[in-house]
Amino acid sequence: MRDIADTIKAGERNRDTMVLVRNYCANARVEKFGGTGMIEQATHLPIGLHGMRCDFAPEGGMACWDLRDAVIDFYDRNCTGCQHRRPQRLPNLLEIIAERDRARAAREVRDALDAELAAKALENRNTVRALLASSLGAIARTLLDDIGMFDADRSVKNFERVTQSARLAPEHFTTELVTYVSELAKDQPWFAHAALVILDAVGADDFQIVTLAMATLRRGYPDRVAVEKLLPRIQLLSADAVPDIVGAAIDLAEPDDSEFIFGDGQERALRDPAFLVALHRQFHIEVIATIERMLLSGKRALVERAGRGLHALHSSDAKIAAPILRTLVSVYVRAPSLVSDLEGDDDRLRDLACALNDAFDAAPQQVDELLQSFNRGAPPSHRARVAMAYARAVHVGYDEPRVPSTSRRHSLALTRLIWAPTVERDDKVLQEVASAFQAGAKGLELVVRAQLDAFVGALFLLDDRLAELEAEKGQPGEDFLIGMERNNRRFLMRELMHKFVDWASEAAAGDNAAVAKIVAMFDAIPDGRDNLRGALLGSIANLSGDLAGLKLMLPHLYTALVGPSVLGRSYAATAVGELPYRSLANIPDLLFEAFAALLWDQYVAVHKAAVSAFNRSIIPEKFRPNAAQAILNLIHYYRVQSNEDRFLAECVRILAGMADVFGEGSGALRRYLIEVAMGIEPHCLLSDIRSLSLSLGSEAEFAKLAARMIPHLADRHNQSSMAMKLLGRVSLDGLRANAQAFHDAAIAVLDCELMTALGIVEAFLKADMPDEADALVTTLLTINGDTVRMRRRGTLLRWPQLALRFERAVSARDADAISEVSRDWSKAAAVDKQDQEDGRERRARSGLPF
Amino acid sequence: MNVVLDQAYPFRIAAIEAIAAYPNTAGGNELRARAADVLSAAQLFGSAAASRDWQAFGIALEILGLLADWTEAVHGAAVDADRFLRACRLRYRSFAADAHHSPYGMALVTALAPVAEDLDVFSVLALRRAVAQVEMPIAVFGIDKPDHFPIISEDLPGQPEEIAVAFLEFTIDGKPVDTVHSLRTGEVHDLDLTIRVSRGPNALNGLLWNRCRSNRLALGTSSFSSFLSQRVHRPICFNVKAVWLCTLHRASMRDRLNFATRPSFNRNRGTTNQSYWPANERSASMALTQRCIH
Repeated sequence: MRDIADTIKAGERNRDTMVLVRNYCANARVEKFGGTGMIEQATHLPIGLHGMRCDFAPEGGMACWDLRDAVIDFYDRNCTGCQHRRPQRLPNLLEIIAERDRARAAREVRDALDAELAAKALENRNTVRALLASSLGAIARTLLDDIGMFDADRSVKNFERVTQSARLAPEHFTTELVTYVSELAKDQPWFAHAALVILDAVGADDFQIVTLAMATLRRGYPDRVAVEKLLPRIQLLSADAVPDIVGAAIDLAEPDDSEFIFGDGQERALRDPAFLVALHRQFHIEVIATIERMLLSGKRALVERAGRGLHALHSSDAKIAAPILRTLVSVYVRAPSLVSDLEGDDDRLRDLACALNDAFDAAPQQVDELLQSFNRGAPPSHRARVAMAYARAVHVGYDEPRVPSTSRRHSLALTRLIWAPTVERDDKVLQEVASAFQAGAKGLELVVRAQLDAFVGALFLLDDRLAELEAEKGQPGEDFLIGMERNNRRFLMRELMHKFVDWASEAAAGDNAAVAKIVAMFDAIPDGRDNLRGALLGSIANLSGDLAGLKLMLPHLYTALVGPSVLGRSYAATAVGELPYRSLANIPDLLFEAFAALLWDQYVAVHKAAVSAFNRSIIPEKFRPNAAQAILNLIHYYRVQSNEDRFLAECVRILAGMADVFGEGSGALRRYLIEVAMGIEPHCLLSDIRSLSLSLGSEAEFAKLAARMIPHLADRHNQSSMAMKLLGRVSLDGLRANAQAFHDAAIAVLDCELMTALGIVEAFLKADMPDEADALVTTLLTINGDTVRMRRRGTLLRWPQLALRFERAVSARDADAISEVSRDWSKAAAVDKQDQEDGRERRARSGLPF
Repeated sequence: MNVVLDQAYPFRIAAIEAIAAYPNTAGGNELRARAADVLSAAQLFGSAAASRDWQAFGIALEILGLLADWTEAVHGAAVDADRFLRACRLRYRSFAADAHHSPYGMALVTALAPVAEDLDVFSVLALRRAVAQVEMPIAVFGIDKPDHFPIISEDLPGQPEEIAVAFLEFTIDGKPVDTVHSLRTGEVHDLDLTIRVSRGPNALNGLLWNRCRSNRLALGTSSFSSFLSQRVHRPICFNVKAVWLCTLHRASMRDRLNFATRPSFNRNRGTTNQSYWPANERSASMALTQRCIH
């Protein structure tokens, strides 16, 4: 809700800014960049990215969430000194500019003051150093000078000089110099690192070093230098100081890299748990107490830090969380109530979850009991987090070894997850349970195999639940959203059944006894429970990998293919699509014949499932002509149906890819398919057009389909090259025959994708259609207009026209015309260069307004 | 895919003007310059089909350039003037033998066909016009050749760790250089130099010091110009102590004496020996010069 309120505020702010823009100048306007969101649609406020535009300013600039930022940038680049301004009324844009200028001036004053104060402070420190220098020898004086240089320029080079000198020549650091170093570091944080290195190198008093390191760590940063110096002197630490530095120790041991993006060149922060482990060994009670305080702080960052701390200490002490186990589980489960800045109920608290998982490993029974105790009578948001904890517990990484069946954590968590959906009714909790099964059972096969009976039993109960949901009928006048939620619930339950079958079959594969246990379910399923039988057919992908499994599954698959149940036949059709290629030799033709017949099935659910499965099936060549005929039959039928364009597009794509089976009639078929595709809504063809261009592009008629699709492929924001690629597939004859259609397409895309419009001009030129190219460019130039904003676009369009004139003059041996075009080109190039310079100059005036 | 017509086409205009509008003034060098421009323009089109047209046009200009040289040599009664014609024919034959010509390329081959036959110097002008008259297909876009395996920063060999020079001491005639020394010109003195290098690449096992500048010191020994130091132990990688005899050439009151050294080292990397010059070479020199002799 807070996000929605903030979004509405942003929209209101933009609305006010738009008024100021309008009042400033009649030539200025605000343009939207991107799509329209639901809140924008509901409130009619200008929410989203908006930018300022004007016909007297060149194209380009920013579009921002806060329009004020874009407006300030535009003003700086284009409005300062503009001769075309048409003022309207007050207040106007200058209010924002004045506010920005005031803030900038105040910042400059502050910066100048800071600089002055810093210069004075430096001067004072230099005076102190000058006084000290008089009492030092030449080398010590040089070292003091080095410190002075570092003070004036805090570069790595100067830091190195100061610290390396201490390492290499500690004998030259006199007592006075060491005292000065220590004093300077006390109130100058920038010098703390250098001072720590120097004091350590010259063998200064340990308490002095510990005090300085503690002061550095108390600031809360994971300071490696301070820790390095503190670690060998840890026995000098007092227990009272421990709470202040545990946070820094955790950040050093397990840095928060939630923002880390692998592969962008940034290096992951190094993990160094030595100090935290040593701290824990020395001050066990204090460290655990501090971590518990972090857990109970109610702040997300601290809770996560506590999780990272426990995880870092887990490798040295597996039972690290034992004293605070209840707190740990409680905070994780009750986070929606206890953590004030949780990023929504979906916030997984990754680090805390990791710590909880470690604890689950160390004390599985205890953690399970705690989770169950917090689950009982808890609100759905807490129950969802219990499910999250169990889901995390069964997760196996892709590079982790196979989990043995004796693993208590995995067994306990899996059992809870299997039975949870049979009793749970809350959608959110069920979604969390389902998320645990989203990935395959890889790595957990042994655990799942040990619990096959549970999977089989739960499947029956889930089917009962699905039957209940399907029996629920909507009331007349029922809210649309309630109906949608009921459908989602049904879908989720069906999805869970499929996942259970997948997991069970994946784990059973290769084990004859386990496979037999699953296949035996077919006989145990009472008549009429087609959903359960259908879900079970989904196991064929895993179980038919070897001959024994295939032999057991085939009778049930065939029975379903030819059975009386519509739902059973559609499930069976889908299952045929999952048969692995390596089983092809062992599958009798009878099964494929039965499958091909489903493409002719009169029931929509059956033939749609069959078409979808056919696309990825291993059906042998000899059955393909019959299948192609069946799909053609479906195209004939669905061509005249409304609201079936997606399925029709799928049929067209599949048949276009196998047009060769029609032999001599393949050309006619392709032309027919193009005709059918011309009747399909373009947005339904977007994902198929590339495939169609490969299978149908050789036909001249494909050009008209391409011309129809190009305006729908153009994309202002993503610069898709699909339209250009499609253009490349069109035959020259097709282009010539459909010149007008492409002419219209170029006009349609001019505004949003100039490159595609130019691509059509180039295609005309390549197809030896100079007159059409000339006419198209002339039209595009007229539409483009001659404003300052559109001038560079116009120049881009003008190049091919000039080149065309030149080639005509060359061909006609008209020396005068050649010279004239040459002059025109030079003039246009000079103007373009001037425009580019102008653009650069304007951009130089721009700066980030925030 | 980029619009490159605006960058490429001026070269075509200039070339056509050279062979059609000013046929009598454009000589061999001029035409070769135009050909080079056109061939560079062909690169702009990348993998687009138009690139072949532009390459063909560039080669045709090169052939016309050789013909221009031949004409000039014949008219100037140069020795063996026909060598240009022979070169021109060879160039033409390889051009005509290209099996991948576009229609435009084929039209140029046809236009230049008389080159392979008996050619009169007076027909060169007609050949230029014939080439100029062939209409070239206009292409707007260049297609970048895809970089299938871009090198990412992780794949690049790491930079060698830089050498840090942290501390050095001088003594002259046994006295540390922390006071003003009086050195007479022409006298021989002992110069002791101690350099402690704190850090360097792990594979580094020796450090060669070269004297870069010593404008007022004459050397009593030849070893001063360069010396090799061996790695000793960690954390101080190198602890160099060297003694030389030196003579001051010229002197003035409170003259500042500078000299600098430059470390160099070799490191084995795989099977190849590569020399690495430390990036902070300058700063190393600065560190040495900083402590100067007054």
